[in-house]
Amino acid sequence: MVIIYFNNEQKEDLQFLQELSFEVGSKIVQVSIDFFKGNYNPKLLQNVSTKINLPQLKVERCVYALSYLFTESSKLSLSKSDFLESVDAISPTKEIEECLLESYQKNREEMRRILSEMSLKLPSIDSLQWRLDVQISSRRTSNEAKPVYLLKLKTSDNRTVWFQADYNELESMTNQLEIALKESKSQHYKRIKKYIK
Amino acid sequence: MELSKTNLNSLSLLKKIPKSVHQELLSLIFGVLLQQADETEIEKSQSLKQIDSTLLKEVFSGLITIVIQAVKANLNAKSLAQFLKDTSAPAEFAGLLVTAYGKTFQKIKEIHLETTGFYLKKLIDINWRMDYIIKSNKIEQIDKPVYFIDLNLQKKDGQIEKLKFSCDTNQLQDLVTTLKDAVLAKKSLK
Repeated sequence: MVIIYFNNEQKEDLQFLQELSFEVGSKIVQVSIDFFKGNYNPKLLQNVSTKINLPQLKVERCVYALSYLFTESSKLSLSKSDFLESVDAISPTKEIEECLLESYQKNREEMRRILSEMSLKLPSIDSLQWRLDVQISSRRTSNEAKPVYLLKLKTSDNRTVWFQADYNELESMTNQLEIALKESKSQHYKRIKKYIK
Repeated sequence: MELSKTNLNSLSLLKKIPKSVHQELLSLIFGVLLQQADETEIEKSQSLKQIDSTLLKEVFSGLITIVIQAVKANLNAKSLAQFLKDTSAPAEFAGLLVTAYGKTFQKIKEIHLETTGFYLKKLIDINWRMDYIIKSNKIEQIDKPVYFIDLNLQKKDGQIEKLKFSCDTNQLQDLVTTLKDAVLAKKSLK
């Protein structure tokens, strides 16, 4: 059982959620989700704060604290009960609690996707294009027929690398990568996967 | 074969060089082409030193050009002999030249011509590693395999550049399929 703990500051920030109507509460929750996804809408926030007659800063801090809640719960992939238990600490109204849970469940996968994009990773492969040529002559040699592969590799950090390979190297590269692929179906890998779970 | 008039002229200039020196001259030329000797050999040789340096230079450069052009045109010893017949090269010298050429032209080809072509970085090696991602500081319970691939590319001057990237199982599958197609394409060539 994993629960998220709010520090005292955050608890204070989320205090006024207890007194809010469902309508306003759900709007704040929506803003928090959008904030996490990177779409911050200050106008909506302004409307909300004037409506409930509270300083904008206070509402902002509430949004930050809720974002923290969603970030951590997505990161840990909290179950329903764990999520509800964590939310209990700030004792919102029943309606707001349900609203929070619903938003969490609806957006969890997308939030996890965003988090994994932000995680540490090496640039990944975008595409590999190839072309088979036959080298006929150059300035210094003529009358030969050597097959040559031209390859263009694009990686996710927008780098494009051009290189050439002869048939033997390409074949050996293909064989090596096939072996690598087979590893994901091997007994050893299945055992490790089971053990870690 | 493309040879300038001066080059061809060098063959007739051979008449001015004493026959006894011809063999030594040939050894020098082929020594230089096979990268086993250099021009300083001229200083060490008594007989070569005595030849007028302008003459020697002209003959030397002419002969080297002829041999290299012959290798470029992929001539075998017979074709070279045929070619020399039509020039002003003294017959005995031509014979010696053709013999030496026959023995060495493959090696010359390897040493010089195939390593000075212009080309892109060349793939020479591949390394791979498979990891299983458990968690990161941003997200937990990832539980997915990831592959790290490392290609070694060699530049013209021999420097090796490493190209690293990662991919998941699907991307690797796509990559293997693409490469298999490429390999099959060549099989349909020959």
